Amino acid sequence: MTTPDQENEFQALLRQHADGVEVSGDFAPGAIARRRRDQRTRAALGAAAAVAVIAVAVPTVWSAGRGTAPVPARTTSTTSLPSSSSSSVPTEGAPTTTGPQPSATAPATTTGPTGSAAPHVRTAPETVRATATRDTAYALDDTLRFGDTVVGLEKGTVVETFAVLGNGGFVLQSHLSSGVSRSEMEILSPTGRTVASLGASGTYAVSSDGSLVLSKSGDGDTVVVHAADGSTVARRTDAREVGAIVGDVAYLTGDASQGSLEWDVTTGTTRALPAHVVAVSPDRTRAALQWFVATDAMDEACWAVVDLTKPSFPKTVERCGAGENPAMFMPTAFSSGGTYLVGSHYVDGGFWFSAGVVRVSDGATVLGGTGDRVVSGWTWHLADDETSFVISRNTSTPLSPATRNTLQRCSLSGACSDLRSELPTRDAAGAAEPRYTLPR
Amino acid sequence: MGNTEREVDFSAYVRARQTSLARFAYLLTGDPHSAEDLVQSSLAKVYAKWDHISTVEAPDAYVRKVMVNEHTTWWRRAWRHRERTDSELIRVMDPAAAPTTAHDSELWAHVRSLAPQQRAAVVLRYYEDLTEAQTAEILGVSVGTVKSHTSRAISSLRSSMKEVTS
Repeated sequence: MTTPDQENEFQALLRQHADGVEVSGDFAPGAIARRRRDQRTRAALGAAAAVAVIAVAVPTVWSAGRGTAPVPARTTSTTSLPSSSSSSVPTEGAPTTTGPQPSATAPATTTGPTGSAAPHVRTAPETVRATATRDTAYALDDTLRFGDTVVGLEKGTVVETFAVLGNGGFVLQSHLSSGVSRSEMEILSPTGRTVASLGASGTYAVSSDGSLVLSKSGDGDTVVVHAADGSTVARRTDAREVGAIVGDVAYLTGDASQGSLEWDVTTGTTRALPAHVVAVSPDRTRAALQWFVATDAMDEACWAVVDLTKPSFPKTVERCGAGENPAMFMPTAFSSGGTYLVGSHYVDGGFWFSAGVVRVSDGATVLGGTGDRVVSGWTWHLADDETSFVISRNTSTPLSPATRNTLQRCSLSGACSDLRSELPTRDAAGAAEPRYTLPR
Repeated sequence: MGNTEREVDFSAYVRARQTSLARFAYLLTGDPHSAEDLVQSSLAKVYAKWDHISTVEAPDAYVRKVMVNEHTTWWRRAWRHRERTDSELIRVMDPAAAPTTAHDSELWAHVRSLAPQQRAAVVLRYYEDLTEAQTAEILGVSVGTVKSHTSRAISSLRSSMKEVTS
């Protein structure tokens, strides 16, 4: 039984809190625009599902399983910001250059009814939108940003990695900052809607044109290839890990007992490759291998480049152990033109890494190393011109503990300029996490 | 009703009632971000059926029902509600009518910890001042269930208050 006093106490409390709520805008335009957008999304998902059904008619494409329907789309919160002024300041004593700033690309043309959102309503009018590209996109805390557009993610989302797809969408790997939260992967539409869930605690790779995503959830032995719109293109049961995807060919990384595998996702044909393939050149003639050799002192990092055009896959370059690979370079990808391998040098004791670039032809280190050659940061990518890179940089002095973070564009010779304001790192249970994240 | 006429009619209703709806949403969700998202997503659904809703005598009851159902659906979803809607339309001021005591803070924390339907029952009964029958109609449950929800909510409140003060 409840007493009148208790009920009165409840009532007074609820009214007190409700009275503090004020509305500072107009909900109607946003609600109308949202309804129209929901209708368009349902139509788009229907179209995607229809394409998936047609794809079933090509059995080799669906080599080992069933298609996965896109998960229901959800509302997104997208808004536009006033153009931000970015500084161009010298850092860490490096000579300053004024590199090009991330900027919006030409607005994409979309069809469909016009949303009539008020200017400060975060429901996006979709008639004129910038499209994200690898050059323009970055994540700041729990938002994805490109040009003047901000895609808000769930509050507390920590972006671990992301990639920009050919249609302007994203592959997002993230977790929540609060509570116990596993790393989740998903494909987002250009407006930030989830169009496919790729599972938890897994890995992914994206083709250079952003049309295909190769992923594997940490919960099973199925590798899946998705199109940028979230539809499933092919899947395969395989214990190997995600290596790379180049054009329509996926590469799965296997250890010495399994070997790696080349898998043509359009025909389903496969070819055995050497173990430890982690990256493949854009023309598919070279593969980078990376492995460790256990020693009494510690694991030694090794890497090599093999020629995929010859049946024996001969190594053209190999660097192994403390003598040949003292900074423990570990490749992750080829550069756009295939000239370089990009990856990281191991840095003991930091929650950050040192960016690294080596030349494919002779294995020479072009960027990074030890001592004053350390380029400390968290995420980065080499630009398509192969002469500059953009990095979410650790700008702390000294570098450890990491306390400061900014976005920089740097030349391979080390001349850097700030692209965004320097921010304090985020403290996550005693470990410093970056505020900015760059696409792969 | 034509598109323009529907839009004008709906917009007039929303402007007249949005503060009340925002307050209701805030009590249901407990934070302004979720409250804004709840109001907007619910109103989007209401707009889809506005031709029908606008003809009924009490649209507020229907809108509240949509909001309660939407909120309960969010809570039941296995997947995370990933998007974030910044609270640019809703501002929450500090309760100014009376000084906030530790007791009030504990009480408010307790309200926020209630399960969605239990919280909805409490808000409808004690904030919206609806009868048990009206509350049951909106929640889609029996009057007995409403009694049970509100009684349990206050009982658990009493228990938690004792724990705090002991």
